[in-house]
Amino acid sequence: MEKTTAHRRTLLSTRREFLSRSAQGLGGIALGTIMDGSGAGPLIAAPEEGNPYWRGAVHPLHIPPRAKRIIYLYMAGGPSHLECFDHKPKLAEMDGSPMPDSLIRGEQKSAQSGGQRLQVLGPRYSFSRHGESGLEISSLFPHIAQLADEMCIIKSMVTEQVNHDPAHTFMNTGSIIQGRPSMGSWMAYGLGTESENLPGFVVMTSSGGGQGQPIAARQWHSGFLPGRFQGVKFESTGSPVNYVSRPPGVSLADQRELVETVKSLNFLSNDVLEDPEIQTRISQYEMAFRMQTSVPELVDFSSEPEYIRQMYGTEGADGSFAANCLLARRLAERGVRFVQLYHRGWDHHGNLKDGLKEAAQLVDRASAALVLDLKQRGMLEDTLVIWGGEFGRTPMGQGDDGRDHHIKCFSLWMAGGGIRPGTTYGRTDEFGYDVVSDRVHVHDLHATILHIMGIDHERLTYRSQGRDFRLTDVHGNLVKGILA
Amino acid sequence: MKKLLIAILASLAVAGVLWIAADGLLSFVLFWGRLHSLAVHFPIGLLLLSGGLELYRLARPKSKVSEVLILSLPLAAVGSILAVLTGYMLSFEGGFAEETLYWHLRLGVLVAVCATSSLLLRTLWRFFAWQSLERAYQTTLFAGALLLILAGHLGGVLAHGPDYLTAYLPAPARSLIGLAPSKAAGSEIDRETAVLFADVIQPILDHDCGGCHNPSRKRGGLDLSSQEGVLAGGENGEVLTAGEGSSSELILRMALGSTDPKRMPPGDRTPVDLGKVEVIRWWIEQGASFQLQLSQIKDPPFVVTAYLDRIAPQGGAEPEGIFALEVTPPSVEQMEVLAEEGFAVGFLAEGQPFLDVRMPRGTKLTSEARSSLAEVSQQVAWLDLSGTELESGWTGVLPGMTHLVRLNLSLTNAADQDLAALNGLQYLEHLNLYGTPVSDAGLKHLAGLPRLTKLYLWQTRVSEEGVAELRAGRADLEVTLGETLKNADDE
Amino acid sequence: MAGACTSDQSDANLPETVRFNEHIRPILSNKCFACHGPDSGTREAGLRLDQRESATAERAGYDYPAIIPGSSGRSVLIERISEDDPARRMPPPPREGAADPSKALSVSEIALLEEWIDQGAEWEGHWAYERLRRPAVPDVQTETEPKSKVDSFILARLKEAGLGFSNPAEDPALFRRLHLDLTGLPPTLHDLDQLAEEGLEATYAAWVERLLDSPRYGERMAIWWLDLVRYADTNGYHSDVHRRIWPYRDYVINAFNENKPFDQFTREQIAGDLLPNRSREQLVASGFNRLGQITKEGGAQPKEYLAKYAADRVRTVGTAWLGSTIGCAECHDHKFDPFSMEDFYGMAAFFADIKEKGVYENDGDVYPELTLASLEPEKAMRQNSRMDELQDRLLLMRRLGRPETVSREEWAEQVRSLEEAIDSTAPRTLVSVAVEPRPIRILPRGNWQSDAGPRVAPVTPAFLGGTGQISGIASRLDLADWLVSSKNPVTARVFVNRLWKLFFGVGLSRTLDDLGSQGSWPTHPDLLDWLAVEFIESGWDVKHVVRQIVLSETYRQTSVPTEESLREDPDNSKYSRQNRFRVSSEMVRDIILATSGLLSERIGGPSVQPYQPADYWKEINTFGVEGPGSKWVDSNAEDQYRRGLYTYWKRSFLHPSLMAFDAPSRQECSADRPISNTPVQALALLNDPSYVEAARVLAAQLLLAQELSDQERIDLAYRRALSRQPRDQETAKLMELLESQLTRFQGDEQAAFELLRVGNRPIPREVEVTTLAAWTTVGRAILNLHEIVTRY
Repeated sequence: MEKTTAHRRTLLSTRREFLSRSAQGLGGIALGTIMDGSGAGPLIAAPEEGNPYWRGAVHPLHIPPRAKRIIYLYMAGGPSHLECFDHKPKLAEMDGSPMPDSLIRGEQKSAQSGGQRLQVLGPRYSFSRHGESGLEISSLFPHIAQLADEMCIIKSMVTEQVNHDPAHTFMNTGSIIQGRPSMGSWMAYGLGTESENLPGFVVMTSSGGGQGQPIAARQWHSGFLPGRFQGVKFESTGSPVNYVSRPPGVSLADQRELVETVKSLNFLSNDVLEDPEIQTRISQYEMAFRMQTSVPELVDFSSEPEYIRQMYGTEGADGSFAANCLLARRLAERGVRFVQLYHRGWDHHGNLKDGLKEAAQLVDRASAALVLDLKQRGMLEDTLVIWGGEFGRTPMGQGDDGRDHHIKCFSLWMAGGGIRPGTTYGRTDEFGYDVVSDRVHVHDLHATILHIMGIDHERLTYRSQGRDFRLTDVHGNLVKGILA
Repeated sequence: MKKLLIAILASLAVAGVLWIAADGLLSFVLFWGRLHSLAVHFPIGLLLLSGGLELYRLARPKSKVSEVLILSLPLAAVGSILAVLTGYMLSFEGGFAEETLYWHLRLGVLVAVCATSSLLLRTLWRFFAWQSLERAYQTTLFAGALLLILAGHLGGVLAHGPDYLTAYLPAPARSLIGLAPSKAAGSEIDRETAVLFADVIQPILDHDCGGCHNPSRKRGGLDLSSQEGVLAGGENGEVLTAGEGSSSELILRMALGSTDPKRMPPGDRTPVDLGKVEVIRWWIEQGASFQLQLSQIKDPPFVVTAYLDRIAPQGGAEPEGIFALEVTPPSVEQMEVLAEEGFAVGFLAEGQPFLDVRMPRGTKLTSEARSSLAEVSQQVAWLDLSGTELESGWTGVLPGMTHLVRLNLSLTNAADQDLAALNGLQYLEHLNLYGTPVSDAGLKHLAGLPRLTKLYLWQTRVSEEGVAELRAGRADLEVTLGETLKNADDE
Repeated sequence: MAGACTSDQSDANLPETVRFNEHIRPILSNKCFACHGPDSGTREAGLRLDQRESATAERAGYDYPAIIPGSSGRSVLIERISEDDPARRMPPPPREGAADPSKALSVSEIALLEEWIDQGAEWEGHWAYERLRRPAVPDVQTETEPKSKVDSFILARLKEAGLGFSNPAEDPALFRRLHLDLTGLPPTLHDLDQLAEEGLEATYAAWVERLLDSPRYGERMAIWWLDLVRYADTNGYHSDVHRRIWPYRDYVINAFNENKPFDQFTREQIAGDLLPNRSREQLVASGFNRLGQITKEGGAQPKEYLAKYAADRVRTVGTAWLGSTIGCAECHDHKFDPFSMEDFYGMAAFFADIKEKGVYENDGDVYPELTLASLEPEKAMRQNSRMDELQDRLLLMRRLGRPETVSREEWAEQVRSLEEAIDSTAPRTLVSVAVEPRPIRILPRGNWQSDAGPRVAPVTPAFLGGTGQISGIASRLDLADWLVSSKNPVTARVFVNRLWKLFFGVGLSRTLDDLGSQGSWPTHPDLLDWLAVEFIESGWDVKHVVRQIVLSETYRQTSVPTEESLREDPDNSKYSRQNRFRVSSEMVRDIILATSGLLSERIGGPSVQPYQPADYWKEINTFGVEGPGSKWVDSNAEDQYRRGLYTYWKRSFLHPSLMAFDAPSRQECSADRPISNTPVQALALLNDPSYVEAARVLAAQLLLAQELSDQERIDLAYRRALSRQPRDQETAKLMELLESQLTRFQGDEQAAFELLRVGNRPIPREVEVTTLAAWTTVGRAILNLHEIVTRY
């Protein structure tokens, strides 16, 4: 099989080669990344005996990292910024009166054609100041409020998509075109994993909250990146990873031997078939094998003291957001780069007041516990925690107890990982309708997150179908104001 | 055709009379006056064109191009008259620097006179063959064009402020004509020496307000181009009250809604960026000092630092700490040995000799591993031994790591006496001892770490007293002893 | 390049009427849109050619518009593309060293553009909404007659790029591909023997027919249709408990097997209950309208949920039949396609007559249901053996009459109790029953609480051609008629696009769920339209379209890429080779069970419960409701080994093995499954007891063939599993594993026993335990190969 030799050579990159590239980077000769500048496409380092994990395409990093891992608490449905983190007393004053024409001119046609007047809806929950920083946080979040001096609230987030699914896709991939890699896949690809035994990118969804719009697997797909960088979905109840235990009578050595045989047989057929998916399949078997030993220990919450479980508000893998948060911390401790926890239940077109309360109660305590627990372990300084949804909600009421989707501004907070603590960034107008200063577009958020991880967003690229792609496409500005 | 023209003129006249009758003369005058800025461009273009064509004809007498003069010169003459008329009307609006206006008006009239007479002279010369008038025609034309440039400049000064022309001159050119270097908003600011008003706020006022509130054109009687002007206020009184940012006229006017006729800048013009407004408001609230230096501000508020970051990014900051040091990078062989010993090792960032070294949890730091680590002790900046098994004597590697910045020993058996080995690590900033058997006795060894700012001591044997003793006089040292979440479920 | 072709030739080839979408858009799109297209970010000279307004407008700084309709001579566009001076010629030459080939237009392309401009330069709207007409089959010069018209379309584009078809796949590979694509199962040993004897070349068409006639074909086709209509065994919302609707699933399988014309298939599902002289089967089909999620939650607002059900139906019909995202018009007019809110609610109004509740009782049934046993037994519906038996007894009793030994009363009592017994065991299924329609209003911004919006009558989207003259209020039947009427240009396009995907892994338009303006432009629009016309004109004959595709040379190409094909056609959008892709979730199971010989061939019946991790359903809460949706009980006997599509489909807790391979939850209509490759899949194949058992049963069968040597056993296993002979190195690897495992289990017989105890199927007494355990490991190795789950 002569013709495949070259192909194989690109697949196999020995550690020595990789290290010498890094060293060249020092002299400024080459970028030192596994992606060379020639545009010949990325090389895929083959898993090696003994030390088999992917070390990342950006190696060394472009700048010293502020964080090494991300835990993204993704509030799906579009939490109302007006009831959560963006206090607008003016709305309370004007509750029930029509929205000023100047703001909404030329918009919301369909509602007007439906004969409905657009009326201001006052905030359904009160706000108060917390911590030394005096951040204003709604009474919905008595626990998150205790983090006031740890977090930076961005009030000037802006997105482009007004429906859930495309808005999720935009938030996760920077595009609404299907087939682009998600943020986590870019991280797994760019940074590699610190864990030999777990995937670099883990996703979980939690139950509770009454709204069950499914989150499409597209949200953690690797797009055109190799399949091994796709997010691995852990189940939130029972064992998070099904089928991790070996069949009875099969020892670890037996399983190892089996996996080795499968691997070499797959390699053999690749000589004939030349299918890049085979390479991915091989590395997934490697990972699967290692997960069989690491996952049972990972999910054994009995090693967590009672007060820690109380702090999060969970007893075990019961599908709750709290349990997922605790698991997220354990994943982070074990070197998983990107953990994304979806919680649904923030889409309040109606039943705003009670619905928000229900959703907030399910996430408030555990979100706060996660940050504090990371902090006391010394992990918060190199873990970036992100909390937010795909868009915000209108200052105008929908019905008398609801708000519609809104993309012109929404709030999101971050903590840890080089974030300037105890601050807010950006401002909205007095109605919480539009951004008036320091706009942060989704692309800007992506650029900043990559920066925090030590990556220049313009230099993390992947060539697909003759074009170089990046997470921020052709956009994205670093938001320096949120960095410490 | 003629009838039509007459009809148009007549109806215009009637409309004018009706207008004056309805709204008064002033409104009529001002309306047409505002057309000045439109009208002036006709004579500017046409007169300069005519002059240019004439110059060209001097060089190439046979060229037909100058035939265009038949059209351009009459139009230039009419245009200049119109410009003068509308300009005169506009002068009633007031708020212009008197002296400049005086010269602008007179020069304008002169331009109109020159243009008209050159037209007259040219007609006489060409169509009545008074050959001797050719020179006179040329003289008046060129004079008109020259005067026009002067008048135009003064007009620009009236409309946009005195440094309208020179604002964007390159610095050498400015100094050549005797001007101070410009201070446009967004220029480099030295945060050590900068004065808040002069270097931050004045440039904002110049850029966003200077068009109307300058010494030449004090709209509303207000000149915001200097400390004196700001303090003097306008025809409605003072624009700021020290200490009362939100209620100062200066801020109020900028914060009004765009539909409010009092909003500044008026109409549809781009509002002043709120980040800038916030900076000015903060300055007023702090007492509106004209001397306050940036370096004197303790804990500058976010609005100010964010704005400064925006206009004068500190991107090219000098390398600090270990990054200022000259250290040779490790060799490929050294890194390979580390990897073989089980370390996860990588450079902190490209172009840096420093290493981020981690031993996976649950592994053992063997003596072989230690000696491979000792090989690169100068380069290790971050060392993570969390959850590893440390054999006695492991601390031997530490004293050599003089550039160590972060050390994670959490969940190890690192003991009090081991911490003595940290002594002398002058760059050590972060130390994680969570989950170790360390006690107060061990803390004493940390007193000599000059840069230590973060210390994690959750689940150790230290006492609050021990921590207090360590922290005495070290406000910058943050110690984490564990976090509690206050129970708010019952609220 | 361009000069090689003389204009005389190209003139001769010019079509009578030059059409924008067919002839012009591809040229402009390939050569011009990059700089003169919709993307304002890359637009040059302020010119966009995708819109008439811009292309024919005066632009500042230019003397003439780019295009002057009716006059190619004065159109700057023609001047610039035929310019001799390379510095002025459009498109500009490629950058120095750039890999992309020159985009210069060929003489025939220029001639087409000229002709189009001279004919008036008519732009056309979005392709999928244009009237469907049969495109001319391209006349490609080939040595041999193309195998299918499909090939002419594909070859025409390949030739343009200087490419041709790849070689046909080798017999065993193509044979396996055909089996997998048409039946979802690998060929049997018997099939393979026949192949070896006869070869494929001559028998290919016969094989296609045989496989189309196989009952397995309907099962394979049902999978993706069930995704579209979101078929599941549970209610979805809240407690997500059991519902009875599996007869609908069997209806779908039967419909594909019988090759029920698609227009009829459509009518029966949407309006089976409204058809004149409706049969029971048609009533079962009307269960389609009841497939959506419903709630039994106590505090839920019926009005809110009725609004949800209505919207869900619109989305489903919109996606399944119209390939559109009409669901976006629930709260506002569609941003990209011409759907209005009126269209959305007008569509919803068709379903307002369906008898249903917003919220059902937690411990009660969902209704109305149809009891199948009290009706004439239709074969496909008689799956319950207990019921069969009872019914046979009843029939017998009736036929024989009352024996003299029994009194009349006793006899009547016996008959009655038998009837009752039949009734209680008889399958029931949700169906549509029409009642007085609920009023449907436009909900302002989708707000279900508002009654402010105007009431709407059932109406189909106007821009796709309305339902036309209908006396009285339009019904679901009118909707169904419209969906498959000649006025509606999208249904057939959507359907054939999805069929294409089954055989190439991607659709001709890659967005299977959206052929609207946000969807991706088809790679071969003419071919798509040709297939759609073929579909309609054949009488909506699904198998006919399938034949067109699988008989083609395009389909039969090898999927192993040549260097040239990879270079010139990196994403294979020109079909210079076949695609390879992982098979769907259900097929992963089917292939492995079939390989082991465990697979049951039984069709239909209640959903089954193959082994599932014990704690997987631990946390579910059904609020006291018992039943198949509340507790997982591994199925017994044959039911344990049924095909994947019969697996009990609980929407909120789908079987993890199915889920691992990307089966959707079916909470919503889904037209396309993502294809992932994760460690979770590896874990499932390694450790799911179903697959361990399959390996064991395969091993036992290998050992029962006592005359075979170990090498021959590996040969046999490879033929069963991969439809091919192992290569020497592969045999060697597996022999190595076998030796080592033999030693291992001989040393630990206990472990061997434990391994063999996995699964219900008994172990044949003849085989020796340690040997069987070792061979089981060999079987597992084979069943875990990438080739097992991939269709090449």
